[in-house]
Amino acid sequence: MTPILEIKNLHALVDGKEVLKGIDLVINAGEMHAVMGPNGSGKSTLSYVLAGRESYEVTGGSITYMGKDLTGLEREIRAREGIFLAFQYPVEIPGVAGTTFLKTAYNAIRKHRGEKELDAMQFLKLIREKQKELGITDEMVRRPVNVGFSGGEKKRNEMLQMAMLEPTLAILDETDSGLDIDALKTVADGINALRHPARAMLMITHYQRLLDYVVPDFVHVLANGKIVRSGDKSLALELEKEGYGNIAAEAAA
Amino acid sequence: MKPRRITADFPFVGAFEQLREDLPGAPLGWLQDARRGALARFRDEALPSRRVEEWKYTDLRALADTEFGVPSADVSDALRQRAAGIGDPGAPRLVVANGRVDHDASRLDGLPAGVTLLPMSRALETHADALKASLDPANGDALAALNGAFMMDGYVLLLDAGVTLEPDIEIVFLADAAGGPVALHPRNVVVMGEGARATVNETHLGDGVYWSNPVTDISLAPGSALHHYKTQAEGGDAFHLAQARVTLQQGAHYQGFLAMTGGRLARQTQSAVIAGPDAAFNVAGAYLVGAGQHCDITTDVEHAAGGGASRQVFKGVLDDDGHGVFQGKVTVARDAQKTDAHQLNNALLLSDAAEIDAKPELEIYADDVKCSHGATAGDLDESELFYLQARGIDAATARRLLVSAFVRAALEEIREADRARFDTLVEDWLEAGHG
Repeated sequence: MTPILEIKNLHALVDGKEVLKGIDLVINAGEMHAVMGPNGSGKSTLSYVLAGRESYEVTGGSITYMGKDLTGLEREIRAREGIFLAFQYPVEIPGVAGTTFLKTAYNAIRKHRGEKELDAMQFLKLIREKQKELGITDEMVRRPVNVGFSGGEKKRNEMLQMAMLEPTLAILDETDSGLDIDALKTVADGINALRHPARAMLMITHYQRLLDYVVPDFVHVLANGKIVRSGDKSLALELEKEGYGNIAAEAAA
Repeated sequence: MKPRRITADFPFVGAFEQLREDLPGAPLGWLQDARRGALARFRDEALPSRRVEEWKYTDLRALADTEFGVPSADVSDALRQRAAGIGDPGAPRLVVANGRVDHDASRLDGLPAGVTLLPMSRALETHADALKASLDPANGDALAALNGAFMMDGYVLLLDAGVTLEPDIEIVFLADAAGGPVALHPRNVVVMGEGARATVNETHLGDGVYWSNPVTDISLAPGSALHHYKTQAEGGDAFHLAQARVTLQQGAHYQGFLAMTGGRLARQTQSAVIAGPDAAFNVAGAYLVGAGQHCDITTDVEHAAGGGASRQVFKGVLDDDGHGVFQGKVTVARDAQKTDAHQLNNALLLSDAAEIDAKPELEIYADDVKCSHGATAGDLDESELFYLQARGIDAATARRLLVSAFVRAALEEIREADRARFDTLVEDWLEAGHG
């Protein structure tokens, strides 16, 4: 079976500086991968490169998504093809109502898939169902996107978008950062609810604590722009005990 | 030193003596004298150059270099059709085409008692005495004097005390310069009696090289309220230099909105005198400026009485080599205590060649007031664009959402029910190839 994501020897620059220095990673349908690593290891760069952010330049290697080269695709096409990035810092967009934003996104993706766009009533019905699962009020989705939201609300809003857009590959960039334990559980429930045999997930995190609630199939350690170790969930526990220092040193040796 | 005046030799000015017999109010001796006096003043003062502080950012040399003549009565069917499509077709409306009322396109019947809505030419036959005070040609700058000399049809709206005008009225100004450059000087007067209420929608359209130089005088008696919404969508080769002057008595309320998208060179001067206590003057607006366009919003609000409020909120979007100007002046007299004055101009620059000049000016002589002003200029936020695109929204739609949201903040200044006509302002502008 074709993997959902296949990254080979990926090199990438951010503002002219090489941050990814040869990443190899294969993610199959139904799998949950966690990429862990110290600050500055290149974790967020990997997520932005996959989502196609400007000023993140691929200089070598390949990214194959569903059997196709990803690097030449416009960022909105990547999203329509099923890649979803849950942002570490969801962006506030004053003046754009949450429902307008999400309906525009939802219908753009439906249209791309050759499906019928939803009208306002159908859309509201659907979003209400998803809201309920994540404890998001009507008032919150009507407000301008992320404006005035707490850290936890922003992350829940990302989960709502993910639930609505039903991605094939979900990239969760430090989704646990800035959350108290209750918010963390809600967000973890949101992630777990979306685990699906046809869907792949890439969870990027600094800390092990999210992995208590969302159990990965594979754990990778990213250090200095490379994956230096891969293992199962026990690797995360080892990191929690020993810190990143040993592994980074091992890799350098 | 460069001169403070630009002299121009406009053909229409030379034709004054032949023209004046055809202009509104010709049989009125006092008006003929007033026209002559105004013309003498314009000849003396001429057009202001950029050496004049209020004209520092707006250059009238291109205007001075154009040979504006006298408008003909010919207005194309295409323009008339556009006029017919504006607003509620059942609403009372006055259409002024090339400086003359278009009786066929106007609908002035069925107005409630106590409401007078007439073209200037007719109003000077029936309400000359009531208008005399509002038509003082000595009032205003050289451009107002020029309008005073050549004043043509505009709208005259007189409301008796306590009258509420329903429904909203539509005023449409058309300009057709197919026969060569022409100058138009619409003159409008609004006089609202005590406690009267009205909503006036004003639209300006045209084709060809023309100069529209409208002057609107608005007098608000105690407790009256006027909502005044203007769409300036002049043709791309037009000059539009408009002035609205508002006087507010005790407890009167003015709410204006200016949607400025047209013209090669446009300037709207919005001045107000808060003459009675506890009056409120609010004006908001959006100016969308594209290639080769210059748009200037100049305000001058004088708080002469206390307890008043003024609020100015403008959003400018500048594309290509578009040039925007915002000059906002607020004066608070020594006795105008408890004044609350707020002024804000935000400009969104969509191109490196676009330019905005913003100049807030506060003169405060009272000591117990709340006055604030702000001006910002910036481009679209890359992280906002990325966020929208990362959800599958294409770049053009993402820009449209962000530009609309930016302008919407100005629209939120007016009543929700009145926003509909401006709902697609940004979308239409972007669709026309901007942004």
